[in-house]
Amino acid sequence: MSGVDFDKLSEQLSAYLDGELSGRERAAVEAVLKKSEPARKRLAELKQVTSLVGALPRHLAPESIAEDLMKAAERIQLLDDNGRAGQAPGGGWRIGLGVLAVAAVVTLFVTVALQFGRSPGESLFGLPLASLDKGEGTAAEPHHLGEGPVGSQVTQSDDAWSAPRGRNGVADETRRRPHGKKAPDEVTSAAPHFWEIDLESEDLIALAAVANVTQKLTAGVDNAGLRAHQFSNESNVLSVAFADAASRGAAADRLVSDLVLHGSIDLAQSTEPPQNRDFYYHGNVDYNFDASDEEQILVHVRTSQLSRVLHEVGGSADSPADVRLQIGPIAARGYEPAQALIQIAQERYASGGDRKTTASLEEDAESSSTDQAVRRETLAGEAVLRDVVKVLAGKSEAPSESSVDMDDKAPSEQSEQEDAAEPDESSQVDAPVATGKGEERRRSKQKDSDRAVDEEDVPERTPLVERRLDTARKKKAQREGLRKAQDSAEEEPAPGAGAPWRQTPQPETRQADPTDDPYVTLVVRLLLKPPPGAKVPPSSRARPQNANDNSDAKPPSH
Amino acid sequence: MEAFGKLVERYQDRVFNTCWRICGSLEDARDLTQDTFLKALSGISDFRRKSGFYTWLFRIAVNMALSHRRKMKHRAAVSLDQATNPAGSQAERLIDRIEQAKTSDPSCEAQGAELQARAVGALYGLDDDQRAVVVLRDIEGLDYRDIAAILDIAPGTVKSRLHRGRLALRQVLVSPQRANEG
Repeated sequence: MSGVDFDKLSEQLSAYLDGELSGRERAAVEAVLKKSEPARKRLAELKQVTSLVGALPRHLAPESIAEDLMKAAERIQLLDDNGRAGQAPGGGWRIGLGVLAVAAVVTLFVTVALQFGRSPGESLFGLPLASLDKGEGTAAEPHHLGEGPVGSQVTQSDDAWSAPRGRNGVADETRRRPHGKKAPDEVTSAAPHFWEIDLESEDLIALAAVANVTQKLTAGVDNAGLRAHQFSNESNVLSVAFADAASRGAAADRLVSDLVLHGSIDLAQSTEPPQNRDFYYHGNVDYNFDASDEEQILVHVRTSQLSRVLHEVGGSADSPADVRLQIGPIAARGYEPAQALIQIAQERYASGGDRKTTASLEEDAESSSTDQAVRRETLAGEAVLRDVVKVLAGKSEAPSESSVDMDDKAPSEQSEQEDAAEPDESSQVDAPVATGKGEERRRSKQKDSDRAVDEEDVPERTPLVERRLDTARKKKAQREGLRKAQDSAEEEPAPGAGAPWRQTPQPETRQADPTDDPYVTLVVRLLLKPPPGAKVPPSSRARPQNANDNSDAKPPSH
Repeated sequence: MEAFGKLVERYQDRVFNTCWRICGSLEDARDLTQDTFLKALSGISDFRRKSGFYTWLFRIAVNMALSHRRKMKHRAAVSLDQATNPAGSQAERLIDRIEQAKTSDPSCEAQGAELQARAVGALYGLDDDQRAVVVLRDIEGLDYRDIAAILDIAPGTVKSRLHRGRLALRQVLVSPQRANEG
């Protein structure tokens, strides 16, 4: 055997030792080992080497590492508390975004260390942390933490150490903090925990993903909150309940495929932070959410694409009543009301008038003192919408069927209640089958709705209402035409046809001016209906915590 | 805050040992471990699900340790060149490092294990690239795929670097007579 061949064989032996050869390669190596004494000898030597290196003693990390890091984290929290002061509390769009705030304050924290003359390779923790509260350090240009988006201070560089900006400002700002005179412990214990990272890497993924949604930085990330809210603090949520995991998975796949086909990028796979463009983020039960009965897809699309999203997901449900859509403060239960709500939302966005529906909440919140105030204002601005939706949904519908919730609760409260109650509600829904009874019921409801249109029983005749009525009349005419055509056709539905209530979405009507068709973030929640008779207590939705699991088990690689 | 403590608690020993075995200094490993967690914290928005969190954390740690070592090596270049034979083979440099390891590694001193001291010295004498692979594989027990992700190299490169590193170690750790026969 030549030297080159033996080197190659030796490399294979090394990989063989590690169990890194394919079955075929392994068989080849074993065949050589049977015949070749030098090969066996080399394998033994490699084994000896790996055993010796593997048996080298290990040190426990000095306890001071954790202590110092905790001090650093406390320091971050102090700074974060200051950053929070300039912003409205709460707000779904903030969930998770504080991760970047953490990044910002860590960067700033590091720059403080650098200010004290430490180089990147040196320890940060000789830094006299308490000195910050005492006002040590040099005052310089003002630091804007808390006066604007924290994100403006995040360095885009991978290397946090190379971010000199705000270096002096941190010390200056820290001195000016209103609670600067309090003892650090007092402040940190009083401040809400702004971040908690679960040991599951998937939670970090979720945090990172959410942080990338708008690239806006606010203090207030709360991983526990993220899990509890399931993104439900987002103003726009489409919930669809499925009878089994297979149909749910198929719906998720269909939606994702459709999103990809229409140019949406996978947020988790994107190497660049998505700015103002379509993207989606698909988290499933094994990834980043507690609930064992749902998947979630975070969708960032233009309003004109919402109806397609509804069609892809809601169209797969067993019953229209399994579909629920919340846009801003309005929740529509049922497929058709959801469609109507989307159309209304589109018009509202396109009208350029009172846009205080959903996306503008985000802008408003920044200038408002509290989210609640913004929401109240929003609710008032939605009064017309409510009336229209009532008309469209049919006022005589039973509440458990297609209906529209017009609760004046803040979206977050509403969502939380929904989170707790939704599985039970789903189980209470008398889900009609796609044909037969369900069709009769649908037609009955439609008649009610049409009657409302005919009688023009509208409480308030605004231009918007007029437009909606026009649309409803046209739809009624279309339906009647379709019904006649169906009546004359065979009773047997065409193969592959969906349930009658599953309508093909209208073609996207993108506005000439993109600003008339703004992006919205929609949380698509794909639920599983509990088995008949089963009651799922809200508490059981939480994933068992494994925070105490300190095993060295390697997390699953992706 | 509590969760952050748990995160540190969970990974600090592995990160610390990896840094230690790559940079060769307990004190530096301590600082590097702290810096790794801080950098992970600051770069959380860059973390993507292409890799697991563990892999991502180790990537930071290894990069920092290698970077630190390069800086240290640069600073000590003159003195090292004076202390060792610049024309010597890697094996000769490994043997030189064994003597240094005996005094710089307290664990070896305490245990008085000559063989372990030789292994430590040999490890520290490896080229940086080879040592990182050997540490991640033979000490941390990672598979080639994870090592490749951590070091941002192809799995085939992991395989060849690991092999070369092991051969270099073999020259020191396996009896010289036997090693020369190979």
